Formats: sequence, structure tokens, C-alpha cells
Amino acid sequence: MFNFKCRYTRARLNAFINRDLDLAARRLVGQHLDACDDCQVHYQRLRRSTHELERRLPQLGAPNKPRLNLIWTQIQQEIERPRPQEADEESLGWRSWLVLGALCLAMILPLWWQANNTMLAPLAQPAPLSAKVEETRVYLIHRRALHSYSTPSTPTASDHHLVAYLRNTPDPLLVRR
Amino acid sequence: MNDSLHSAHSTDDTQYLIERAVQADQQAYAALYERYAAGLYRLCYSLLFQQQDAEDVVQEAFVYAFKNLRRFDPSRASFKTWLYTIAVSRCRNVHRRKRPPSMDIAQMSQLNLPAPQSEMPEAVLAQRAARDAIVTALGDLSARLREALVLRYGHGLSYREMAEVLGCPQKTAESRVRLAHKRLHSVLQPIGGEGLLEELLKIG
Repeated sequence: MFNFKCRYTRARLNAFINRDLDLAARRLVGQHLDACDDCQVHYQRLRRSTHELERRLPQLGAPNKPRLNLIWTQIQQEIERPRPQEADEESLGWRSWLVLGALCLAMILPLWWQANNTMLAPLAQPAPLSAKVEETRVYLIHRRALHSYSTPSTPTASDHHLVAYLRNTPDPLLVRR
Repeated sequence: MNDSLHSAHSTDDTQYLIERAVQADQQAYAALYERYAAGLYRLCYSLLFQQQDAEDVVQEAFVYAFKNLRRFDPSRASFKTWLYTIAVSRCRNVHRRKRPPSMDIAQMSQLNLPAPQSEMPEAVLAQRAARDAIVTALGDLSARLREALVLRYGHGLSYREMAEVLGCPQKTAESRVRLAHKRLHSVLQPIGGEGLLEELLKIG
């Protein structure tokens, strides 16, 4: 039955086969393999295929000596050339500088445009009033208000017009005319 | 070529050769090439399955490595893993350009495998079929899983070295190998994989 120990063991079978496990983990895996037939079968299969790969893969693509010599001749020609890679790096550098320049221009151009075109310049905030000026202004407003309450005012033409409108009576000014 | 250069095989000797090569010593270049070319070609061929592509990548990788030897830092990686990293990166580029990868089974039969012990024609045929099947199965793996399998079993790299070459954490390299095993079995199963593996085991 596949349980936690099986899961633990199978996750470490490769390392167990390659002797990459520490002693404690190796002991746990070994004990479980002795006890579990399914994992033992799995282990045997993995061990065979691992050994098979270790034997077969180093033989895959065995090089051909004359071909390697030919490659060496070409490599020699390349490394004796006056560092074409530097040219590549320079061209890469040139491109990077171009991109950087474009970015800088993209950032600077709007600022320059704003500075030279007042229509696009942001509206200037009014400068804050100083405390003294503000105090004087409030004082004047209050004094004017107090004055209007304290002195009886003669009704003006606009007052008559308003009173007539509110009472739904003919406007005395119009009647007078 | 200087024999003393070619007889050197340890890491220190490789470092000595690199120092000489940095000073534009042609013999050191040749010695480095002789030491690593065969392995690098096998790696590229196992990943690309095309002789011409593999040769191109070997050439590109060596030219790049030789021209950038000053950038090589032995404290970060061995020369072999550095070279393999360059080659694997180039192989990935080839894969990207030529997707899906075309596999040439005829060329794959140039494996230089040992002659079978059994002389029975049926056995020889069965063994050849088994070999082709395992190589085909390898070709059916995704590029990442094939890289893991080839580096691990074809070149005997440790998981730490694999992680350096593949540019991934060590745990990822381990899980790729495990997954590759699983895929290999699932690919071989429908074509009688267990029987084929058994057949392969009889060859040796």
C-alpha cells in the first residue's frame, strides 16, 4: 500500500542510487526498501535504468577526430582575427547608447516644450497671504458688516422692487413712472 | 604542440593553461581544446542530435571562451562547467531557432556502441531496437530534462555542477533528473519499455 514512507522513499531513490543522501536519510530509505516490495521493485527498475544510462549516454555522439581537428582550425582562425567580438560589443554598445539617448530625449523634450510654451505651462498657484494681511482683511470685513447693521439704511430702488415682488403688488417705481 | 601542456590534467594544470592562454599562448589554447573538445562535442550532440549543429556550437563555445578567458573566475566555477554553461546556452539558442528539434536516427546509430555479445541475428536486432528506443525516448524528452539526464549520466557531473551549468538551484537539478527518469519510463512503456530495458541489460 502506497503511503507516506513510499512517497518519501521514491522521492529519494535517485539520490540513494547515486549515494548522494546523508546517512540518516539513507538508513530510512534502506529500511523502507527492505520492508516494501513495491518500492523494492521500483528501486530495482530505477537502478537498472540508471546504470544503463550511465553506460549508454557517454557513448552517445562519440566525436570524430578529423572533424574535431577541422573545428580547431576554424577556432584558430577566429581567435587570431583582430577581436571581431569587440566590434560586436561596440555595436551593441552603440545601440545601447542610442536607446539611452532616445529615452533621455523623451524625458527632456516635454520639459523643454513646457518651458518654452506658456500655454502648456501649469497654472501658477496664488501666493499665500501673509498672516498680517489676512488679519487686516478679516478685520475690514467684520467692521463693514457691523457698520451695516448699526446704521439704518434708506431703502434703495432695488429694495422697493424686491418688496413689491414679494408682496405681489405693483412696483412703486413703475407706478410712479 | 608541447607535450608537457597536453599531459597536464589536474585543475591546477588547467588554471596554468588558462593563464598561459590569457597571454595569447597558442599551445595553451590547443591544449585546452584537446582536453575539453571531445566532451563538449558529446554534450552538444546529445542535446541537439545533429552533427552540424553540434560542431557549430562547439566552435562558438570555444571561440567565446577563449576570447573571454579574462572573465573566467576559477573561484566561481571550474573551467569545464564554465565551458559547458556556454555550450548549453548556445544549444538552447539552437533549440529556440529550430523548434521542434529534428532527430536524425541514422546519425544516432553512429554511437560506437560495443559489439553485442550474442551472435543470434534476432538478438542483435532486438538489441538494436532497444538501443534506438532508448535514444528516441531521450530525444522525446523536453530540452531541460534531456540536459539534466545528459549532464548527470553522460558526463558524470554532480548535482552542484549541474546546477551551475543549468543555472538553477541544486534541488531543481535533482528533481529534473528524477522527472526525466519518470518520463523515460513512461515513453518506453508503450513500446515495451521494460522488455527493452531488460534487453539492453543483456547486451553488456
